[in-house]
Amino acid sequence: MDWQKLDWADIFRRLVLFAFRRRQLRGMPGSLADAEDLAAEAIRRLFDSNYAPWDPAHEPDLLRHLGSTVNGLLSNEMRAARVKLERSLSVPSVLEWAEQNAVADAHPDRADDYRYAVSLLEARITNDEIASQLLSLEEEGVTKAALQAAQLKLDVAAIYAARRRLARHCQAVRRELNGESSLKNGLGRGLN
Amino acid sequence: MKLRKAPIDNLTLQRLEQSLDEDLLTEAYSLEEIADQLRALGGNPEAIGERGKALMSGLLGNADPHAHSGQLSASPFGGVPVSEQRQEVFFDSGASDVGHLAFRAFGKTYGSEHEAVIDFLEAITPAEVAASEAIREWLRTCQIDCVKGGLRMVAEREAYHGRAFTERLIELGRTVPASVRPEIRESIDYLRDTSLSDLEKLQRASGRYPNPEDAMQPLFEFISLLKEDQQTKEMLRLFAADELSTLRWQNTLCAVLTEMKRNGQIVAE
Repeated sequence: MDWQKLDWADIFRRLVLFAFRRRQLRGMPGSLADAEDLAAEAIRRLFDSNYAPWDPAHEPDLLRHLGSTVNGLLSNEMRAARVKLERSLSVPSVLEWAEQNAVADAHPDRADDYRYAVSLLEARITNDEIASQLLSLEEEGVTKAALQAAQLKLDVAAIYAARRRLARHCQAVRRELNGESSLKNGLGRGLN
Repeated sequence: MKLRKAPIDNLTLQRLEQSLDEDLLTEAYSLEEIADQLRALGGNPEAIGERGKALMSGLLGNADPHAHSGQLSASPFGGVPVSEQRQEVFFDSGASDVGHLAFRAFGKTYGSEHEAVIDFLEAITPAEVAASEAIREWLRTCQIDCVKGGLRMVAEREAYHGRAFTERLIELGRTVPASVRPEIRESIDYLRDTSLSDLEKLQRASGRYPNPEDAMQPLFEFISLLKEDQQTKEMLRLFAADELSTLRWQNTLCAVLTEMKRNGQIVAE
């Protein structure tokens, strides 16, 4: 691999954006600068012999490999945060907070919330045939654009375009839900 | 092919978004679309890209980091501990994840992130104060108006860096060392040297750090390694932005003035 020939500015920008979205999805507060730290760490580990090396036979795409490292780093971060929380449970206010969250997480309405979110999304894409079909494929676990293109007998560019539309609708639904949630309980927890 | 329309029961918005976000790592999004999204989040895609390139150039020029020892050096205006040579800097990125393993930065191995932070602050704080004073002395003899204007701002920055880091050191239970470390002292003293012209001082500074991004990269990397001390981390992030701005200013001005002198537009002696 000739590392010098790669467009590292592009790789880094994509990875930063990816890390930012991943943090958001996991409900972890953080700025773009935090995402940049994560992206930098993922790249650094690529060259650090203390970590498992990139195996192109397993994941031929470098960016996907880096994305997976970002996912791992985020999991570590969440685990560390949980440990910290457990250690501080002797503080009554923290204990109370944790209990409230545990109750909220186990709430039976949660599944209804998920269904409601997806129904909002479906309503938004009802006239977008490709996006609707993609939704079905995603549910079936067909998540790769190339496979989706093959199944729908469409050009991969058309699939990418539909996935971008779908991503925008998802963000709109999330904003809508966060707005509703804020209005309802003043917390803005949303559906994470 | 048309798919059977079945009710969507098992897909969550989060799972779908996770899948769709994978596209950010592919050609599904163009360079421009990625840049637009970063801008929408308040980011500067050009600067992020530059930092990515600088990170890589650091890593690629650092194939065997453990074979070199490092030392603190200084920027022209204010003792930023960056390395004179890229090879002298290395980082152990995983160290602070657990908080107990060795923490390596600027070519040194520390017992913890905290130790590294203290060492950094103890090096930088007196240097920033001294640099501010040296620049004020330069200002008294400075002959070129545009240099004067910049120096005024830089002197203020160095002074407030010194004040803020002093407060932080005290919060961390330490005091500010009485003197500037010798390896940094040398990069400050010439600023007050009246035998050097304004342009010579600028040329000396720019010659030392011809590429501001590269010069600052070790500091940005150090910042990115800090996981526990979030307060110092954010202070350093803003400090690094100031220092980068100073380096860019001095190099740009130096290039312009050097050219003007060559064309006989200024005397600059």
